[in-house]
Amino acid sequence: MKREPVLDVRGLRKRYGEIVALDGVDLVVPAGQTLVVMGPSGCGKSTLVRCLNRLLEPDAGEIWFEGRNLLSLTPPELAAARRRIGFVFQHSNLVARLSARQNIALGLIAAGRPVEEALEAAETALDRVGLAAKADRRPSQLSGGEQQRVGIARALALSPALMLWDEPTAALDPLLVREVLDVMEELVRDGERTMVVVTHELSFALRAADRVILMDSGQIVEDGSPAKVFTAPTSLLGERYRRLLESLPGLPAEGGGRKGKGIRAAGANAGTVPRPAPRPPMAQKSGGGRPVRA
Amino acid sequence: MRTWLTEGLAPLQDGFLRDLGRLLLVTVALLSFLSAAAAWAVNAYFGRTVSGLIGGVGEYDFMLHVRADAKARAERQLAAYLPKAFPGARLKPGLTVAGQTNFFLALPPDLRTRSVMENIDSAFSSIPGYSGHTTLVEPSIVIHGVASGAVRFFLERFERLPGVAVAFADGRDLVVAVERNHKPEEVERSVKALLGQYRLVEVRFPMGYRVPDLRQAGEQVAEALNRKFGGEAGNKAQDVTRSSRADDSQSFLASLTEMRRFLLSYASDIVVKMDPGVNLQRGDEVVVGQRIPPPGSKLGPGSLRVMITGVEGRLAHGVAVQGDTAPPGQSSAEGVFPAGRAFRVKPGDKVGAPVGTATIHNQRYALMATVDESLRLLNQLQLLAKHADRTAARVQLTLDSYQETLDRLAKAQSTLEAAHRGLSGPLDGLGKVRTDEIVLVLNRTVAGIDDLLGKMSGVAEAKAAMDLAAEAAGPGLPQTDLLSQIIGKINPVTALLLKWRAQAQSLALQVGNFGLLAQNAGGVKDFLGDLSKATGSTLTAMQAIDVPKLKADLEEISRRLEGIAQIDVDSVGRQMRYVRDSLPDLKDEELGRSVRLIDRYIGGEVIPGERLQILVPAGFPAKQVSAEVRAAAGEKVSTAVSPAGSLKPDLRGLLFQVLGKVRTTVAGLMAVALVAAVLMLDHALIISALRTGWKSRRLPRWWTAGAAAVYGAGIGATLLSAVFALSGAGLPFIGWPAVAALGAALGLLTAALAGRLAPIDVGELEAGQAMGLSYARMLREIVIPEGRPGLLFLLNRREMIFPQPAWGQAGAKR
Repeated sequence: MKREPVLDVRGLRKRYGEIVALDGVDLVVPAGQTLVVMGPSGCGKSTLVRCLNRLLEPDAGEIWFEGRNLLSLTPPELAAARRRIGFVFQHSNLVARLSARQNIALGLIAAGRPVEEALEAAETALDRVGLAAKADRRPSQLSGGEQQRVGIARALALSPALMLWDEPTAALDPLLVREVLDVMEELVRDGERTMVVVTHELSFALRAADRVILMDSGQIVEDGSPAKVFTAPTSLLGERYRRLLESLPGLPAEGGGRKGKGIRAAGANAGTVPRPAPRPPMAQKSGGGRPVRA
Repeated sequence: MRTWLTEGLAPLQDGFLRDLGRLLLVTVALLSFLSAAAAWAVNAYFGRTVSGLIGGVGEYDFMLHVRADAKARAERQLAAYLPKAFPGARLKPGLTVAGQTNFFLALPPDLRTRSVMENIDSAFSSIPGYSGHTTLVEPSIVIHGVASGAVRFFLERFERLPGVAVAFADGRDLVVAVERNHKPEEVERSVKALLGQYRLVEVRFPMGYRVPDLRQAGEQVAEALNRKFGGEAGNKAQDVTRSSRADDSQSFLASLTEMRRFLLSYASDIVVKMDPGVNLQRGDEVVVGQRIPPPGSKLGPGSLRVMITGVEGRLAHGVAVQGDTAPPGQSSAEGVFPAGRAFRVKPGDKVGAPVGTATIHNQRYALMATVDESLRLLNQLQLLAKHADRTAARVQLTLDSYQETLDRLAKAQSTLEAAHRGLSGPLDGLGKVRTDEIVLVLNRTVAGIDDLLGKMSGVAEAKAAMDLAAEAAGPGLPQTDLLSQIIGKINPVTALLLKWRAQAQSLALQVGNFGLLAQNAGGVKDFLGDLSKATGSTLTAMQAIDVPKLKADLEEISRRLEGIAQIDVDSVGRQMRYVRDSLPDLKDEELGRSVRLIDRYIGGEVIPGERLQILVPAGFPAKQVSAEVRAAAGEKVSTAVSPAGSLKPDLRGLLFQVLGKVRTTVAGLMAVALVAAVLMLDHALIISALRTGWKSRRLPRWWTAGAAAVYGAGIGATLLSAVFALSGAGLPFIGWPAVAALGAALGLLTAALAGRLAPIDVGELEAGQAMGLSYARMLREIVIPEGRPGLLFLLNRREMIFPQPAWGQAGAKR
């Protein structure tokens, strides 16, 4: 059964002066799909994800979300649409003066929920990411990983149809990356929402992505399942990723992803990466293997 | 454009515009209050200080100035004197400033009369150290510029105005004291209106023109004006001339002119007789001397340089402006000596062409020569008096002898006549002639004549000495002339006496020889007859001289000569030498420089001569009045029509006016400072946030920068103008447009520096956007609480979902 697309991006363009960040990007994301966007730094992947909820204004194109073009909405309509799109930033971007709970509740109250109810919902969201005990702490009293988890809870609290992730682990200490990735993989396993994840975490892409796109110079150069993109690339960039994958030990040679198909590495040293196993509650401290990063 | 506007205004939606409006209202109200309060505090402080210095408004009438060293004595005397002279008056010691202590004096209402007010100085002149007063009567109106002759006229009329308590002259000003229950403004209007009914016509005569009777001249002019323009009483011109009145500048200019005249009379007058074809002008410079370097040479430092001050025909007069005119040797009694040739001075201080021959006339040198000559004459005079006295004494002796000789001659004549009669009969009559008696009488008479002649010889000797002294002394004494006249009257007798003496000696010889007499009786008889006749004529000649009168004259001469002898010639000589030595030793160069300085100062200003002052009704046409005055007083007069007087602010009024300026200036400065602070604390944050919001939208960069500038300028201009208006602030030399411009400038500066003054955490804003918060909500919840604590921060607290617990949390992130 063909699923309805949650997001339909058409001919999206964005320039920073002379630099072309997005050069006519077309992208359709079906409901429930986990799309991982990868590519070298400066290829336009962050610009793409920030344009998707209009944190950045694209120069041209269309962004259809739940049947409405985001670029033609009035500010209140846009605000309402944004509440359906969760966003996790590279830095958590928590409001410094508010506690973790208040940070989460703020969005709910803006959506019209009573304060008390919003605070309770925030508590629940924090519980999901394993930080209920630190609900009253301010961001400065939390570790980087905890801050990022509060950021995730803040996005989740609004029950978004689409979640956008802008390199959520890029600013973290390697020791803290795992706890964030665990949360992310848990969300993938839930399969409740569509996700567009910009990341350099190759292991995450291999284990959790339904679909991977590679971007280069503002264009999508590879688009397909992780197996297709990383084993039979059609672009130079894809080829480079394939070689990289071959050179890394312990990665699945084939299969992977939520469908359990795995990826067969083209290289001789290619291994398998076990797909994420259900591990409720999600907030439990990660004890899995060391994350592998590209 | 519509999109830009929509997008641009988007951040202000969701109630933020209302928040902004409320912020502006509160800001204006608070800042106006603070500015006004600061200004009020300053005003109150300085007002109290001023009141301490010169008393409160209307509290005192006079401030009496007393030398600080006499303060204690003055205070004691005032305490004793005041209750007697001014019962009910109050006195309060004031501050001591610059060696002068002040006492405030308040008079009771019944003593606030014109007489008391005008004679306050004379009333307190006996107080030790008293040095004058300052009038503090308030409320009052002060008028100045009223002609002194019109003061009484106006005072009387001022006092008739409603609301005027008393009007009096205070120095050159007129003070109109206003009754407490009247508004000074109303009285001021009345005073102005009264002054406006008159004009003062000042008629000036040319310099040097002497008006024999100013009052008469003034009345004539006034009459002429009344004939031409006057109507009923009260609409007539009147003479208010006061000849003694001269203002300070006139006196000063007149003094300078007199000084210039004195200097010119004291300085050498160097007269250049111009060569044919030469034309020297006033102000030209020439160099004068016996040895002038050839034309074209540079002038030496010792050259006598002369500035021409006037030209009369072919003679140019000048003063030395460099070098001195000391005479080469002894100057003449007139102080005139030749100075050689004169040459024009060319630019660059070079000798020019010859222009004439110069002589130097110096009254100073003439005076010195005269004093020297007088000293010499004084000594000669004493010698002359001495000789005259001696001569007079000898004349006195001569006159005594003269009288005796006259008696003897009379006796001789009677004897000779008797003998002559005896010889006129028969020969036997010869026996009756007593020859021995004749001889004795003749011999005695001859001896008397010899004595007289001897004394007359002494007189001649003394007179010769006196004449010598008189010749040395010059004009001599009148007494010596009288003496010479007396001597001249006696001298002609000498020849007769000598002749008679010879005849008498001959007869005596014959009579002594009786034999010869007997043989020649006829000859003797004839001889006797001749001698008798000669004696008669001699007697007649001698008796013609009024000896008693001469003696009386001689006594008078002696008395006068005695007076001269008593003169202390040494003392007189000393005084004259002192006068000579104390003549100012001013060099011509210095005098010339002073004259040049005075000329430069007065710059050709004409020193006004006599003047008339005529008070005319304002209805008299000014131009025609001038014409009529000239017709009456002469064409050479100049006329000026001026207001009869003008109002001037009183001291306290001026002071409080200044304080008012200070107050508004303080309020203005406070307003500027507070508005600048509000702009930096509150609006910099708003501008920064708006700019961040605009940047994320599809707006051109120029729009973002321009909108921020417009916002800053608009807010700055609005805030400052409103605060200025409400707090009554003001800044010197700055009007309302400039105030608005200043506010706009502050706003523009704030907009330019907003990024540095109030940086925004873009990440938090993006998080807010991503959560679907409106822009206003983001400002309230994220931006403002983390900004600097200001009014915006305070007002925002009630708008926040999660209010800030305390001030201390403000800007916690930073």
